[in-house]
Amino acid sequence: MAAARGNPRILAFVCSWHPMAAADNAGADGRSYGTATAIVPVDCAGVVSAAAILRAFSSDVDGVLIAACGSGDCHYSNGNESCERVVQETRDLMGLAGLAPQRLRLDLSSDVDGGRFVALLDEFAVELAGLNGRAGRERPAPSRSAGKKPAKASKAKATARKKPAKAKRAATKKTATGKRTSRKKSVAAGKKPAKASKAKAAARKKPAARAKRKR
Amino acid sequence: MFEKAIRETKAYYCLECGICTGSCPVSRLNPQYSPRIMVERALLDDDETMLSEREVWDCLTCGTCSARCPSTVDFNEFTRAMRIGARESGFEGVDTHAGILRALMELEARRRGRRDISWVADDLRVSSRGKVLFFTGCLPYYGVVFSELGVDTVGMANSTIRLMNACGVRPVVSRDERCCGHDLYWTGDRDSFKKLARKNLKMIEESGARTVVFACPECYAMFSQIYPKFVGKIGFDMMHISEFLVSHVESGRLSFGEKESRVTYQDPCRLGRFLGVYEEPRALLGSVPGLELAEMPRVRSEALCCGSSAWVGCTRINKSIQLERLSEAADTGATTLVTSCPKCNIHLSCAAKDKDTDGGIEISFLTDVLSDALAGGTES
Amino acid sequence: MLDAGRHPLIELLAYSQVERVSRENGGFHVEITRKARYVDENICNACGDCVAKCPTKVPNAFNMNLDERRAVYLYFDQGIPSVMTIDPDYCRYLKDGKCGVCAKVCEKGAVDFEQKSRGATLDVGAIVLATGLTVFDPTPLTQYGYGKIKNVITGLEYERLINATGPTGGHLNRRSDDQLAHRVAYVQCTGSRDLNYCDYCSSVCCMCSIKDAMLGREHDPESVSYIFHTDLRNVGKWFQRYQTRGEEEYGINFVRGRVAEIAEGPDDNPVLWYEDTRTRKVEKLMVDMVVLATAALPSPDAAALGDMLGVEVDRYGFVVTDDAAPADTSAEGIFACGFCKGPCDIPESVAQASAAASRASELVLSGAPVGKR
Ligand SMILES: Cc1cc2nc3c(=O)[nH]c(=O)nc-3n(C[C@H](O)[C@H](O)[C@H](O)COP(=O)(O)OP(=O)(O)OC[C@H]3O[C@@H](n4cnc5c(N)ncnc54)[C@H](O)[C@@H]3O)c2cc1C
Ligand code: SF4
Ligand code: SF4
Ligand code: SF4
Ligand code: SF4
Ligand code: SF4
Repeated sequence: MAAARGNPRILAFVCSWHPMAAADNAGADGRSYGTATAIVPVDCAGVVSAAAILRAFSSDVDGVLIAACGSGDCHYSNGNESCERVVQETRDLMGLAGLAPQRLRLDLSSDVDGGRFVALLDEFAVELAGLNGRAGRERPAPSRSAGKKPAKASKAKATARKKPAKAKRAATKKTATGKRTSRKKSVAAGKKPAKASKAKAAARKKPAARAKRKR
Repeated sequence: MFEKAIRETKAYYCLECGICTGSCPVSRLNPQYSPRIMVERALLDDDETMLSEREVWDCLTCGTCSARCPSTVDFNEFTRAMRIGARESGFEGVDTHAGILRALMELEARRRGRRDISWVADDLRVSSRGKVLFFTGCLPYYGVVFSELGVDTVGMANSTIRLMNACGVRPVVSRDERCCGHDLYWTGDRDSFKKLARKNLKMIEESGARTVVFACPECYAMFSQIYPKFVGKIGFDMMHISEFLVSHVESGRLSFGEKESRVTYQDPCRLGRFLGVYEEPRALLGSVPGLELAEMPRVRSEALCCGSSAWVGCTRINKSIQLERLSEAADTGATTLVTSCPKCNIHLSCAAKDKDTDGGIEISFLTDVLSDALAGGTES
Repeated sequence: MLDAGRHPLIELLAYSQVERVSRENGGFHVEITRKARYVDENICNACGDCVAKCPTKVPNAFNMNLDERRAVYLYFDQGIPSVMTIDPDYCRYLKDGKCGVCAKVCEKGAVDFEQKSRGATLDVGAIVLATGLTVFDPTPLTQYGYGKIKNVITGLEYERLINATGPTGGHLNRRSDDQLAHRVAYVQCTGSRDLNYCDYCSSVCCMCSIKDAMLGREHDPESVSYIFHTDLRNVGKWFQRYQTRGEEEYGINFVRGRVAEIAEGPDDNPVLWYEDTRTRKVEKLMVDMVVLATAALPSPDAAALGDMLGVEVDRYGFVVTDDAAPADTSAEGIFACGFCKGPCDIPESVAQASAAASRASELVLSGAPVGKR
């Protein structure tokens, strides 16, 4: 029961281009975010499937954040757009399943500011904490005639919910270390997919430089 | 490792007669796939190598082979046993639709939460407790996933309720409903299936329903044939919407207005070969004045499967089966192919869209056709 | 059969129904109904004048309803006693009192509309059961399309078609278009060795199909036959040789694999789907005609008869006999032979008939009343 109300479990799919740079910078800046947040770098937000998101909820996370590059900035031209569609579809499905659609958040931004990234996570955590209970025992959304009264049984059982061990492991405090910076360097040095054109590689350097300036 | 499955499916009775393979729609297109040879290999102890092969996932579980097998070998259950074994050995089939449907089913198995039923149309009457429950299954979800195909599964659920209302029945639509577990069952995920089954039975008990009506034959087959094997006796009546409606047509409570058209009918594997419900949907179509039913050559227990099942595998083979069925349907001269299974509707619509033929046959769901033909709105 | 008909010591009670059997005085008292034929058995000489004039057409059951007979009829040509019968279900005179043409044309005055069914009794020392077989109706095997696809017929129908006295005068004409069928496929084990229908092997159909295929070739040199089988069960004396001859001299194609499904192709040609289990390939084959080698079952009233006589029958309705005394049933004084005991062919039926007859005469000639030996 470590991950209490104030520290919801968040799974963040982070695109390895702009958003991951922001995450790296947050680390380089020594910023900290919720101990129950796990970051999964992905090649592009466009690869995150509805199934992956729903599986995360099956595994008891409270919220899923997808951090994608801002409009027009997708390295693969339209990954962020297809991600928007996936998110819309998934939210619709979540709604039907009685899972608050707010638990899935898409952030479209090419801002590589570490502070912004951490603020985003914090704000999301606050919103999730504000939702009634953990994901998976949502208070019923107001609805039509059928079943206006929530079942007594589910309320009673809600308190007795067990948390899987895996989630506990994930709940260790993450503080950014030097490692992040070194990774950033290697990324900037063009270790990314060979496909990336020189021009794009140059563009990648820019946000990193800006981050340094900021510091 | 297959001893139990061989015993339970009576595979040891196999005569190697070849009827199964000769009957199988997959084998006819894919020479690598042969139910007879799988049974033979299991009997020869070659099961371990078999588990890693993709053929384990190719079966449509359509039941054509088992219906004809002179030794009554239950090849569907045999396939399921292989899939359980494959899963345990770390092999999985290729989920269609990027796994979204499997993820949804798993979500429903694991999570608590209550479904949102705001999709029920405003003019319809449903209740939260009562004698008759309409089990909606995954229809609301499919509405989201298959909206691009133009298959309106939410509309199917609504037309079902509309028809029930027309019979004077205000069905329970429960927010505590779960997926019936059909696809998880047939793809070898025993645990999730059992969780879903238990939740559903508890939901029905709490609803006070004595009769459960299904629009989806898969849910119906699961409840009536599979649940009792795993979770014990079922204490309520079950029927397909076509069975429910037929009794009301017979009693004169339900009647339809004129609808001039020529249709053909797809017998779903579950409703047909599994449950033996062949006549009711036909009787309903027959009770619509002006509606003419033109049968395809392969009907009832010989009907060709809609080509895909349990959301595993959608290959050239599956598509070919679907196209074959569509052309059989078109050859009847019908303008509409009526199905009584939402999944047949989805699969065949998908193939029809892929093929993108002009003047192709329209695919409609039974309750949609009937609800359109309702004389004078929803009141009877 | 003719021998039996002519034998001075054999009395034939054809067109009769055994109603009741009781044990009396160490033997059996048998009550029989002799059904009215409306033709005097002792006068009619089967000249056929009545048949030629009778205006009423009736489906011919002996020819598997493939053609028609008249209301006055001879069940089949070699039948004994060789006399006409008037079918009361169809005869216009017997139904409506109109017609009577047969009576007018019969020069011998054999027609007797006043005849009534009458009772008869017999006191006998022993009974022999020989109720034989009936063939399985393949309609429930919907995948074979019998009754739906015109050119899918049963073995018995084939036997009538290929018979010179049959409905087509011995020509293998298709039902759809009356054209000669050259390519014929035989579907073995239709309903036999099938746990859904008859779980035993009917034993005679493999040989029978080979015979039929040979006959087909003899009638039509262009005939090509395919016999689809699970495994050929030709286990009598010289039967294997017969099969080999069928293959070598008559060009029969034996295909190992049971037929999975029969579809209807163009021109009413049946199309067979099957797995050739030797090549492991799923194939389809279009032919002119399909012959279903249907299962053979015990006579449908064998079970009721067994009940009446106190004779044990098995779950299929076959009469149970003693392994050590194969003609003896469970009831003393009652013997059995032929297909009513279990699948067997004609030679075996004849041998069994002799055995049953000698067991019966042993008993009767010894003079010992049944139960007191
Ligand atoms: C399609 C087919 C083809 C065959 N071809 C061959 C072949 O080529 N060669 C071969 O050797 N064998 C052949 N057989 C097998 C052969 O038919 C049998 O071996 C043989 O007929 C058995 O003789 P049976 O006298 O025991 O019975 P059946 O020939 O069946 O005779 C029984 C008689 O009893 C009568 N009966 C039945 N019940 C009653 C009752 N309650 N009261 C009064 N009478 C009754 C019936 O009407 C019938 O006349 C074939 C079988 C089939 C099905
Ligand atoms: S149909 Fe049945 S008996 Fe025949 S090969 Fe297949 S499993 Fe074996
Ligand atoms: S269930 Fe259907 S798809 Fe599967 S092996 Fe049997 S016939 Fe083929
Ligand atoms: S009833 Fe008369 S006419 Fe007819 S066959 Fe007999 S003898 Fe000839
Ligand atoms: S009386 Fe009957 S049997 Fe005689 S000719 Fe007329 S219809 Fe035929
Ligand atoms: S004799 Fe041949 S065809 Fe007949 S049941 Fe036996 S194996 Fe089958």
